[in-house]
Order: sequence, then C-alpha cells, then structure tokens
Amino acid sequence: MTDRGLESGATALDIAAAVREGRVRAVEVAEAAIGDIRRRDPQFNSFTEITAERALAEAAAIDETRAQGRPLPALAGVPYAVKNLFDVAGLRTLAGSKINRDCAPAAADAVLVARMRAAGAVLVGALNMDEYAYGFTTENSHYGATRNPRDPSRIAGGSSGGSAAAVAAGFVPLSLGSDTNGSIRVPASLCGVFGLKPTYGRLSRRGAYLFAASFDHLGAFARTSADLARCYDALQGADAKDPACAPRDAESASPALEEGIGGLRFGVLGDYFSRMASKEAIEARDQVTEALEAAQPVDLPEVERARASAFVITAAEGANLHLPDLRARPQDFDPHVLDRFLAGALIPAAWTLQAQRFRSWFRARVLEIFREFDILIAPATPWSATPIGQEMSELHGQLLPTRANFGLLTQPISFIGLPVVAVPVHRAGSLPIGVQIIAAPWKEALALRVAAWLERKGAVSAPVAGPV
Amino acid sequence: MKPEDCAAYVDAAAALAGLDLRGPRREAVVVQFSRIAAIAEFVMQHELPADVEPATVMRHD
Repeated sequence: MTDRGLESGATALDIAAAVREGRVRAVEVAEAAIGDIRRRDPQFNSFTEITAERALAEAAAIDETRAQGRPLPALAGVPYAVKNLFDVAGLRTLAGSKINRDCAPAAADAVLVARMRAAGAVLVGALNMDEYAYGFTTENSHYGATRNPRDPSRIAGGSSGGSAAAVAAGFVPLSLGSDTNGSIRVPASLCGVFGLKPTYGRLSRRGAYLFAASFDHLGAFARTSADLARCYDALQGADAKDPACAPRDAESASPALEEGIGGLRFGVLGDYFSRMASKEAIEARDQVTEALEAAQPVDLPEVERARASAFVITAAEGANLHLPDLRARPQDFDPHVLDRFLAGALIPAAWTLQAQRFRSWFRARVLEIFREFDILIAPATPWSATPIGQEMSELHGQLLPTRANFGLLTQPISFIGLPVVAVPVHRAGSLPIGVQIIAAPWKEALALRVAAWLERKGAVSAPVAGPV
Repeated sequence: MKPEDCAAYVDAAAALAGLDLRGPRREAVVVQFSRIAAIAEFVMQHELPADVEPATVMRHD
C-alpha cells in the first residue's frame, strides 16, 4: 500500500497506528492506495469510481489534526471503499444499475459513510456490485464482471463482489457492503476475506440504496478480525430515521476480542447445511469445527422452507421497489435481473403473507436453539469461486443453476436477521472458501471473538492475494 | 399452479400491474414465475397456527 513505513497489505490497525505515531502521513497512504488501485484494478474491475480528490482532502484533514496535536480517531488515515449503493456526497448512487445514472448526485453521505469519516477513515472509491444487489456473482452487464483476485478467471461472488475483491487484492484494508440474502458472506467466502453481516437492525441503512427492505443489512469486509471489529465499532449507533434501526446503544466488539472461547457452546448445523455443501465446503467447515473442538450437531427445523420463503419475499419486495422503472424502461435493466424482477412483481399477496408468517414461526424455533448454543457453525457457500460465466454447477451429482444457488446456505440465516461473521479458510492448492460463525441476535461481539480466536489458532486467515 | 395456469396468470397480472411483456420477454417471465410458484407452493403447504402473525419487520427488540 505504501513504502513509507508500512508493508504492502498493511492492516487498518497498522495504518492507523503508523499515522498516529507520525511514521507516515495520511496523505501518503491515500496517494499510495489510489496509485495502486489505478495500476492494478483494471485486471479485477472492483472499483467503479475512484474518489481521489475527496480522499486526499480527508487525509489532509487527518494530517492537519495530528499537526495541531489533537487526538486522532480510531481509523485515522485508513483507506476504505464502499459498494456503490452507499450515498457518497457528490456521486451518483449507481447501485450497479444503468438507470441510476440518471439520478442526481447524492446530496449527503450515507450514515455509515459519515461514521467512517468521523472515525478518521479515508474514502478512496466506490465498488462494483450486481445490479440492485440482485445476484451472487457480480457479473454486471453494465459495468463488467468483477474478477476474483485469487483467480481472475473466476467470479468474486456478489452482490458485494467489488467490496470483497478490493480487500482481497490489498487495495484497501476495509470496505463496506450490504447483505440481503448473503451478499456479504458469499463474496467474503469466494474472495477469502472476513465479512460481517450484523443483526438486522443493528446498523443504520439510511443513505444506502435498498433491495428488499425486510432483509437488507449493511456490513463490512476486512483481512483480519481485529480490523473488522474496529470497523464495526465505528459504524454502530442508533438512527431514529431508519425505521429498521433498533434504538440500541453501541456495544463495542474490539475490547473482548482476546477473551477466547472458554465456556462457549458450539453447534454444527447439519442436514440441509451438509446436503447443500460440496466436499470442499464441508472440509472447510470441519477445519473450523475441529479447531473449536465443536462436534455437537444441530438441525434447524424446516430450513428449506425458510430459504423458499426468503426467495418469495425477496422477489416481491425487490420488484415492488422497482415497479415504476419496470413499467417505463425495462430495457435498461441488466438481463440477469430483469426477468426475476418482472416475475416478482406479479406475486400474489397470499404467498408473501404466508412466507412472512412462516418467518415468525421459524425465528421462534431458531431462538429456542440459541438457549442451548452460543454459536452455530455452517459453510458459507456451496462452492468456492466458479469460473465467470458458468451457468450450472454440480452439487452431489445434481446440476444446479450457479447464480441462483450461491445463497443456499446464507439465505436461511439472514431470513431471520441473525448476526454472522464469514471466516476465510485457505487450503494449500485450493481456492479459499468461507464458514459462517452465527450468533444469536445482538451477539456480534461473540461471533467476532470466535473469529479472532480461530485466526490466532491459524485455522482461518485472509492474506492479500498474490500477484497474478 | 399448473404451467398453463402460470402463463395465464402472468398475462392477467402483468396487465393489471401495467407491465409490458410482449415478445420473448413474456416466455422468460413465465419461466421465472413458474419457478417462484413452485417454491411458493412449498411455503404454502406449511400449516401455521392462527396466532402466528406476519413478520413485516424483523425487529429483535
């Protein structure tokens, strides 16, 4: 990232410490990050916009604060980037679409962008995604596919594919994304980085372009659990203007990261979560469960129906949001999403209401399970990254449509808004693949603690992707 | 919903919703809707107690 006192791929905490101690200026860090993105990102296509002017201004303000002898915030001088569905003042919020190019530039930053700025982080750009977040592959017809830094012939996952790829490539140590049915956990798994999808209602979504409101979560990516926790801590706080944001005080995760896992009760999700996972996904899960000495199998009831319900509600909510454009300019949608939006617009109310009632039922059953367990463990994706353009993928002898099924293992969890950390498992000679560390509502700190412990044990890690 | 019913439903509902499905797009939407219908049927088969209300916003407080 910079050769002035920081090694390539420095963590957010390394950078913040170096800036705080005066070993490097924030402007130097920002210039190095922007130069690196301009040089190397054309091979990955993770960025749709580089915000150089803003980044240098934010970095200069950090340097000025330090020069005046005033204390610096936790992420001072740390470069980061955001999925292009976050409002960034002065930029058009594309949400991966062609249609949104016609919108006026955002007048103000999204709440989470403002909080990152308050924490001293420096915004260097906006990142590619599936159109309107309706996909798991970031094969965007308008802006091109984002390529996986671990193997550029393969997808980065989606819909926050640019966010995961930018962190895996080492352009930034932190990025923000969104997760409706798996859009943080899937690309984190495929790109081999850490991803946090907090509890539904934990983080304000104000100023982010929604997809399916009753599922939409915002979250973050990082290459270490400590960076992820520090970023999450910076993002927390109530927001009365987001109707889904719970009126809760921030509960810092960073201070407890080193506490270990003593006394925690782990359950390993089986049945559906084993049947819908390839051999490599099961091996990754086993690597994590063996490190945790977690062997207690747990079956969630009616998981397939949970996934089915999530599918129906998502289709209806997403289509409803875009109904005016579906009527007026369907030709301007990405072909990968248009037919699904149109079909979703026709769903009868009886189906969505039944699915929403089932959602209440399922949530109650799963919360009962959390009386006996603190953490549940499951693979994050059925497969590791597939080749760009691959239409079908094999799972236990059956061919399944690739794009529709990358969320098989994430959808039942976000359906009821549980917090999850996706941890990356890297195995020699193989592509990385992620494992979900799932906690009860509001227990993000616990999931992050487990991720940190696994990282210290060497069971999970997220190195910068090597040169390609 | 049978496949032929899906096609008829898509035509009628699209007209009500003001969506233009002329040309090859209609067939693609019928395929997608048939898939949703099959998935929704699985959801509808689950009997729920009468006191289970829809989870319109998944608040945990």
